[in-house]
Amino acid sequence: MLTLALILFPALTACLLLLTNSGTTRQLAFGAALIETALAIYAFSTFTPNATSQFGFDYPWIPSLGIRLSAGIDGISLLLTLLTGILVPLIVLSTFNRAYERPGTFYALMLFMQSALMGVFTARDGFLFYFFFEAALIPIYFLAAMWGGANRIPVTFKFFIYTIFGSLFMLLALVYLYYQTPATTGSAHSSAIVDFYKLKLSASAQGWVFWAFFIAFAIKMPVFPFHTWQPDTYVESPTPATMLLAGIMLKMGIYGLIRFILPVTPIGIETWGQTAIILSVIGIVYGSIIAIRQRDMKRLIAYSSFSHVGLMAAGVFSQTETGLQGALIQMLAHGVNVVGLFFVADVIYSRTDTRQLDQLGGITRTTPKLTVYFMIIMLGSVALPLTNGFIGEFLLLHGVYSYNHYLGLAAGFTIIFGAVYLLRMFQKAMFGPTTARTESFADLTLSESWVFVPLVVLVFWMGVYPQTFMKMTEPAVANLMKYIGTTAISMK
Amino acid sequence: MFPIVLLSVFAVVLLFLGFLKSRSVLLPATLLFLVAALVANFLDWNKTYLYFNSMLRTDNLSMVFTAIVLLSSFLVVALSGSFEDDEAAQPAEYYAIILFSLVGAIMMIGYENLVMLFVGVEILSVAMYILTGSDKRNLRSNEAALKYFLMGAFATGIMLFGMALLYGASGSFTLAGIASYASHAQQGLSLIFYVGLLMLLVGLLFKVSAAPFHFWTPDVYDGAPTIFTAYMSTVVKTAGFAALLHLLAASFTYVYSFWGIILAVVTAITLIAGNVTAVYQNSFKRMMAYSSISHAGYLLIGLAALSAQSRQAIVFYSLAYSIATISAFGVLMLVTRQRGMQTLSSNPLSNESFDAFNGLAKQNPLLGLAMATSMLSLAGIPLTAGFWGKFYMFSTAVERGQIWLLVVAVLMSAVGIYYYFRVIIAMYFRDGATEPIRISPVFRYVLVAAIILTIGLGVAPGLLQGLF
Amino acid sequence: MTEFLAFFKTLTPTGYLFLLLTALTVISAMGVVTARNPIYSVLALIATFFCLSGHYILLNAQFLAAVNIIVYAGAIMVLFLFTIMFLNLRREDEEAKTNLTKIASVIVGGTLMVMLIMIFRAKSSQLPVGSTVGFEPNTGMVENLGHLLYGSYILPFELASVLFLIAMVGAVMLGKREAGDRHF
Repeated sequence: MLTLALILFPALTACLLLLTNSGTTRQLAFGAALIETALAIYAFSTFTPNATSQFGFDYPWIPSLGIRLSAGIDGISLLLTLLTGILVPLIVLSTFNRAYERPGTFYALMLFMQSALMGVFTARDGFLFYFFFEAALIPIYFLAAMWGGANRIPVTFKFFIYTIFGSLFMLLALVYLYYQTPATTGSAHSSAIVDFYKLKLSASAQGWVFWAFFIAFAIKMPVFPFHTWQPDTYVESPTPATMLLAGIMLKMGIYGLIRFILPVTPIGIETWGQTAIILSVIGIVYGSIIAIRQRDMKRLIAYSSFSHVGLMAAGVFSQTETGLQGALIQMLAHGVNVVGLFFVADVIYSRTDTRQLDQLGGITRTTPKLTVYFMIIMLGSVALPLTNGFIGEFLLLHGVYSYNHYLGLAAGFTIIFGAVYLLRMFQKAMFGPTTARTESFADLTLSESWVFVPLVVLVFWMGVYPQTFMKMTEPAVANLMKYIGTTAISMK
Repeated sequence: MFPIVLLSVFAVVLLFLGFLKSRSVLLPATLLFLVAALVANFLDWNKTYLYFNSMLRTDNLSMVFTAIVLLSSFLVVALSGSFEDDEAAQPAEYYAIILFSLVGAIMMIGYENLVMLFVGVEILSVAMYILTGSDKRNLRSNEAALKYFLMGAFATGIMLFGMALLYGASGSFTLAGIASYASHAQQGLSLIFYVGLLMLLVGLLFKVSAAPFHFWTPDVYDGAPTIFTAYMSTVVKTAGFAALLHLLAASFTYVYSFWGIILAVVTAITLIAGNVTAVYQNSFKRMMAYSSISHAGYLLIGLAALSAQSRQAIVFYSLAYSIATISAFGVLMLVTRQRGMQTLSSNPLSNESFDAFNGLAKQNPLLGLAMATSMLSLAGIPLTAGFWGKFYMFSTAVERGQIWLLVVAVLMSAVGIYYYFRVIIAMYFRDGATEPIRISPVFRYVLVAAIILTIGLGVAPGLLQGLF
Repeated sequence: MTEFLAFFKTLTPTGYLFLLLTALTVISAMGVVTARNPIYSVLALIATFFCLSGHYILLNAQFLAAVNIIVYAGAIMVLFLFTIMFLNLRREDEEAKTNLTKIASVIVGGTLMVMLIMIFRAKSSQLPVGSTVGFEPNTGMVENLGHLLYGSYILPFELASVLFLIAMVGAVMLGKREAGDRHF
């Protein structure tokens, strides 16, 4: 039942928010998001670390087709629900110094988005998953296209068409899988995800199901060469929407890889996994190199995110336990870091009206707080030991390396390049002589500080004692590995 | 059977009501009649009857289709309030023709005999020719009516020829008789049987505007007064597909191998022609005409597959499509009228373009929401009824294993999103000088009902399941 | 060729008459479409109707034949002629067809033709089986027709009245004089 509350609560409060349009809207939204955080943390703390799905619910949805409203939290979902629960109130809080037109709609869309994201991460029915997967797209599209920058309309439209196009293929694959399932009581087929795991598909069927899923998720993450929508969309969207996109939404893609591609199409991965890994690694290197050349902070972070996601995808496709474990931890860490980085860019932009690195400089003189927070989060992204990025990237690289040494080596560039462009960004923005725009730079306000504090706490917590999070996912990952193993073997 | 009798009587009554001085009584009276017919429709619920020597059949499926048709016309009629202000309009005649045409639609839904199908198609078609040309002073309307009439008459001729050939082969006009003849497919059937089936299909496919018999659609939908375009693109299509479904399922399952592939090819052509051409339109109304062609394509998927799912799929899809289309045309009518008053330009083309919707949602949130919901539903985005419609359709094709057709359909859905979202973008993200549009209460109720139905069916598609 | 001749020899006088009438029907129907002058068109149409009536008589349906002549060849054609004379359509102001229409009609017609050819090729081994067993020669007589129409086909027969009502209402509605309209 807790899952039901996690999914429904934001949607219901969003409906209420639609009716308000006053200055207190954001406080209400923040309060609602905090309650959701409490629910997510409660779920996290009472979760029993084993492979089962917990706190779930299960109702008939379309009885004659055997499609059910069923959701629950297992080890893989848990971290992502936690991430969604923690990040959304911070994102809401980050908007407190801005006045958005029509705040009722704005915050309602954010909460609708949260609802859909929770649904994606907890759905245990294939079609319910698809339903939420698409439903998450609508609020973010409207957020980006209504409150975005000057060029927002074509850019967000491209994003929308791209992602919908991909997910239509996923729908095909889901319907196909559905018709392969054996009869259950009351209906001819079943759309439960676990039933998809039990299918024994032929090699050619696995091949195309693999690609149908891969295109959908690769566009969402995005993986090279499906990434062309991403930088522009991140730049043109209002920062809260960018944070939702980069912090949480792209995890839907990686989550989908883990949830569907790995267990359902083991032979498909055997045939095509190498192609996928190579694409991911190309993305890592390509994203990093482009990030180094960027002058716009937001665009730089966008490319860095693209590069990091490539590593996560590569880790998943390595089909090793460490790679999977790393991807799960890194999803959490990346969410925290990227939201922090985008918020830094937003803070700077709100005071200087520019994100161009060559127009910035010398901000440290007046801003001790911002400097410290920025540095910690930046170091987390660089994956310095004792920060959250380290453990995830280490595991991921280990996974990719054990799959193929050369690819592992190439993927390792992500750390070096990451250090290059992030440190360069930090240095250009914060040090050096002040410019006309940064002369009277005010330090963080109280609400802004409170966005950073939880993020920084998480950076250290995950860096110093990742066991809190790892032990939750271990049984689920082991269980998943078993699936990969057994289906692959039984097919041989 | 009950709705047929009631509607025929009511329509005559309406003609007499037209003599009254007051026009304002007509609209409520028509709505009342439609509700009465809707209630009467369900009197036979859960029973199966054959009326008048097996001419007409009522069972749950036909009642559901009848209910969809009646509901659509109820919504359309409710949106027709503007006739009261228009001096040249003749609402009594319009409403009477609509009610009469529903008789034809119900005959197409419940026929058991090809003669009934023919008379039903003719009643519906002739009514549509007249309504298309009802805007007498408008040259486009005249042209559309003439075009529709000539081509429609031609299609009817082909259909009739097909029926005659089927009779020649099987010696029967009844669906059961034809089916019993077709059941000897193993021993070989007469050649004229196949030719007859093909011609009958061509005639019906013309009526539902499937490619390559769709060339009349854009001009006719564009030229007809918007309110009748809404009627045409929903009621005629639903009735046409009900007729096709019943025909193929009841009589021709034995020769699926013959027509299955033909319909699949027609489906693919329809999807491609409708969607791709819609992209290039600048007029919203014309875009909707092409979109209706493309939706005929999606509905045809269910026919071409003709699996156990097909009935449910077609019922759900036509309901979702009808609601979304009507509310979209409703908003279009308001916007066109508003633009017409603002710019005082008599050129209706510019008032129906995509640009006319610029900034609509800012001043008129309800209109924006109604339009956005219907566009999302037509595009098949989750949370709306249209998604489940597409889902059911795709399932039927997967069940039949027509994967190539599905790939075409999926690609074309993506194309469809492109042009449906042009409207949403115009309404929400572009700026336009709009003042709030005055919406009459009836209009408001219809739009709200359409939104609720679309989203309700999108969240809980199982609601409709209990019905059949 | 010899088969064809052999087939000819087997025909009864009725058969010859049928072939003759059919040929005449098709020719005059072509005349309707191809004639440039509308008056010739109408005359050709009348000829077509007469030929069709001949077919009805061959089928022993004298009532239908008579009705066909009285209603179509008689009343409706006279109406046509009147209209044409009023409109004075002597000049050849044929509307030029655009390429798009031509392409469209070629596509539509071509599709139909391809489909028909497909069928004929696929099924050409199976010729239609003409069977006269169970044929009631008096079906077309007026008494039997009446029994059918008011018996088993009563419902479509009655509902056809709805069709006529629609047509009448529509004709009145479209033809009604409007304020400001000028008729001659």
